[in-house]
Amino acid sequence: MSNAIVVTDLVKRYGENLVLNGIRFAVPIGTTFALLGVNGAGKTTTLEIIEGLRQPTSGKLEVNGSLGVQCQSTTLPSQIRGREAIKLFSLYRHTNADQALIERIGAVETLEKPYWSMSTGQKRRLHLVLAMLGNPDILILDEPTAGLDVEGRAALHGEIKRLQRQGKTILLASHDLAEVEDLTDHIAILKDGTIAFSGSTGSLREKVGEASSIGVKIKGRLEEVEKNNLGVLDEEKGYFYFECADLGNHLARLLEKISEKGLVIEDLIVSKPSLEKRFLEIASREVK
Amino acid sequence: MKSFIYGLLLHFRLDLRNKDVLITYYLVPLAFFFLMGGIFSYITPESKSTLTGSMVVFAITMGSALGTPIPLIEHYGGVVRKAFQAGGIPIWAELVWTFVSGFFHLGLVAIFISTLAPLVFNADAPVNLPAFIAGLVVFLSTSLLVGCLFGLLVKTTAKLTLLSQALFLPSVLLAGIMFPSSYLPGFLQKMALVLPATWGFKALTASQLSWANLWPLLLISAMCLAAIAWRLRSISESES
Repeated sequence: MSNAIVVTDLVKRYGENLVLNGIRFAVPIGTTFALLGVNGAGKTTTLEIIEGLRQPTSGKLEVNGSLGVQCQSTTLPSQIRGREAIKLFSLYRHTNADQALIERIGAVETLEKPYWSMSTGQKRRLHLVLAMLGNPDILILDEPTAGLDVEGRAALHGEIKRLQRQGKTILLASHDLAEVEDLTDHIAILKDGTIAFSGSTGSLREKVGEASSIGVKIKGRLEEVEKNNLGVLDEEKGYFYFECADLGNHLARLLEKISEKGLVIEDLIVSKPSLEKRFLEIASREVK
Repeated sequence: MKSFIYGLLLHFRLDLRNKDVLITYYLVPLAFFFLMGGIFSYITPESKSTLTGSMVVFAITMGSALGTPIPLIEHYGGVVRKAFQAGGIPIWAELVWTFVSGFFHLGLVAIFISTLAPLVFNADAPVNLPAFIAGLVVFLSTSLLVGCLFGLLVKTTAKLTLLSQALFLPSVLLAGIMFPSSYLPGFLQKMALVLPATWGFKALTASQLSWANLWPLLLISAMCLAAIAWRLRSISESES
């Protein structure tokens, strides 16, 4: 048993609407796995099936270990206080409220507050504490940092890294690509109810290609013919953008061409596409 | 069991913190009791014979129709249920807590009214206390089951207001608690037979425990229980 979660040919249909079309992936024990996708791709449905909150239309699901769940859009009774919610959930999980956990997550200030008076960040922190009660083997976090302030995000990231060191399995859905790159080992990108990509963040970069972007600011005006000759892809705020796979050769050739035409370079930017750009590329076209 | 008991006690406290519940369980029924009790007993002294029963029926009907569904709408109509289920709390727990908590709250109000009405307005005390208590328990349970069903059927308080008033207003006007139902035209008297308040009023003002007054309430309770079970299942399956 090396996988904490194994999803095989999972199909979910709401009437005529096919939300998940036979997705399959496995989350190895002790890894942090991110489920990505644009809105409506089926991330939350997938997580809620794993959490047992929804039934799949067909397919197989294997979960090896206890689950701690933080749903994306949940709330608590408006009059309940943080301390009462923690005690109620602790009793149902047959565990004790963990004061150290509450302090680490930064949820101390929620203890005596009614839920309705908590800020979004405080609510997220309280829900995180509830998810982590009883030290579950697998933690499922759906958009865990949505609505959190910088301090809250840092506390959560610190807690996730601490759990990673303990060998916990974490499955998270997030829109924050920087967060995903920082925290996760594996990524699965959902697109139209199917897995468009599954692998490490490194292999995601390799899969789409290692194209680099070159931005050049040229003194004076550049004629349309010259733009075509140079191969300008985009133009923004005075910069002309070029894309290339082999940065070393392409940059040298480009500078040479610009020099031959007697143009003067004012500024030069070379950048690698972010993981976000890779994600958007995959979310908009399936990688074969 | 410890977790269930804690949840129940917590729900009792949350009801007391919820101003909408507090208004419909305590404030308005007791204000109505003191105001209308005084007016009724002054204008029509003969109403003193049924004042205790009519005020208890009013309080229970109002609390259960307008107050009981509120926490259920928040729980089942919104996304509280998901958080609770994810935390391992069974889907039926909130329903049972609401019912039991409502039973205690409205039971307290009923005892308060039954004790004070003879003292303050010189109203008749229940002639047959065991019959009164049995009638009270059955009527209160039936009313709460109707309220629980309302809380599961609608998702917003705006819709609840419509549904609750469709029960509450006819109950007040047709059940005999404001004026004798014999004053009503025949078809309205027949319509009143489907209202729990009609049978509750009969049971609470009867001199003896009468099966004839209780079986309609038990029938309504059984129908509500079946509908609640169906609704809980459909709520659970609508998400899945």
